[in-house]
Amino acid sequence: MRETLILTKLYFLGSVRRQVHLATLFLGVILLMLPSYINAFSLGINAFERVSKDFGLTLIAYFAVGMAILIASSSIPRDLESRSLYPILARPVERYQYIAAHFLSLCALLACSLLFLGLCLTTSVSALTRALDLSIFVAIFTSFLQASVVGVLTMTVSTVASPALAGTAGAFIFLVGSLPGAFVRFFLVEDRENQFAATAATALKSVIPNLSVFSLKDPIVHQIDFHPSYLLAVVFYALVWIAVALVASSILFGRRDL
Amino acid sequence: MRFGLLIFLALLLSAPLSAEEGRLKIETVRQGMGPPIELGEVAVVAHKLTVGDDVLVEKSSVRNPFPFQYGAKNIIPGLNQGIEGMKTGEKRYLEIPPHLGYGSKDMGLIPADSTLFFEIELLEIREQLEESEDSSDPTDMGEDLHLRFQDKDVLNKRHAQDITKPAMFEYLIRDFFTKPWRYEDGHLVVWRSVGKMFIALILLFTLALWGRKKGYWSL
Repeated sequence: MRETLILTKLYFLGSVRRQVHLATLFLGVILLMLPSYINAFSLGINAFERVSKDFGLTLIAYFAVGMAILIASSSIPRDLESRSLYPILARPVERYQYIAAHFLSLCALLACSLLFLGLCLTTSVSALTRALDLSIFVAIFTSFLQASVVGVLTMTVSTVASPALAGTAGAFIFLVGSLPGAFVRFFLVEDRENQFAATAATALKSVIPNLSVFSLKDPIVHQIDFHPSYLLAVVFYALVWIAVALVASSILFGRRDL
Repeated sequence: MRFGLLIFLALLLSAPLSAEEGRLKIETVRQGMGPPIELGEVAVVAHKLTVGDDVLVEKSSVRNPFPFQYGAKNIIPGLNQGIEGMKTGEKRYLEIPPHLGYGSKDMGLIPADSTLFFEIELLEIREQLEESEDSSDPTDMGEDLHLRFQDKDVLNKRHAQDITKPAMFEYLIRDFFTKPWRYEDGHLVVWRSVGKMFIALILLFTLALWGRKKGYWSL
């Protein structure tokens, strides 16, 4: 456990040194200005608060997934390419600890970025409405869970594939996983003449996480109540997927001849 | 004696078959969410009605749904019975025997004594019909339906809808209205998925430990 935490800190600081956070800062500035712009164009219609939250949360969710895919797809292949992996594995560090450290550093980076972006959005909205509303952090938390799930699955692919292939796989997982009912049914299942495609689509749906459960933007923005147990269920759903992906990536990386 | 026994056996075997033929058959294709529909509430459905050899009679969709009051007299008994206990998002196949459908009336495209095949999806449950929708009059139901199923223009329009591939937009709307957080029991859908993934995790973990013990990989 200690070795994993030391490696996590090392990889987190490595990401900071590579100035990954500059993109976060840039988006933070946009989020700070966003409500003022929307307010200026709303022409007296008092909907800017909802529009700002909706737009801001959408930006944050996509940013988090993009960041997770970019970092997760390149972190392990970069270590292999630069040969910085060998001195680490020469020490008493198991391969699963190495994988877990990469994932934890990604989570830490995502958490810091999303916390900062959430603060930017809350500040800018609160400044105009003169009321502090922290509910958007619930939606940001589920975006964090979604990005973590996509990130860990991308990392699993990156243990055996190139960064480009892993990144593409991550994007594919995100697209299909966030619109499972729409895309898969529309293109394949509803086409009843093609039974093979329908079977393939059903199989695909069962091995890809249903990312639409993480989208809590609508109930937060429009203040719709949802069951208190729903959030807990979503947290467990993400945790189980993360655990499955970490075990799978440990097996795949453990079989790899380095 | 033997001949009589054979007739008796034949009657005995055919009896359940006849009973089965006269019953309403309900097959749930997809489970729904939220509270079940109650008598007097309005069911907003997307449906497809066929008779005989897959002859399309009527069709509604997410974009052009068909609202009706559950339990109303102007709805055929088979349809009222077929949607009993249905929840939002639920999809069913109904096979309605003639006596629960239009009986021995010739309804144009629906011949007399026809079994009706419904593919029905409950999109929404409303408390009451909107004014523009409440145009049905139970007293002239027979004549109204007779004209409805013989109106070639209406039928051609409906057939054209069937030929056209459903729009992507329709599916996006359907997905939007079936998000689990919208419903009281929506969290149960997610919990069920957690259970399935937990089983997968245990299997994978066992496999990982087994492979490590056998020396197939080093964790």
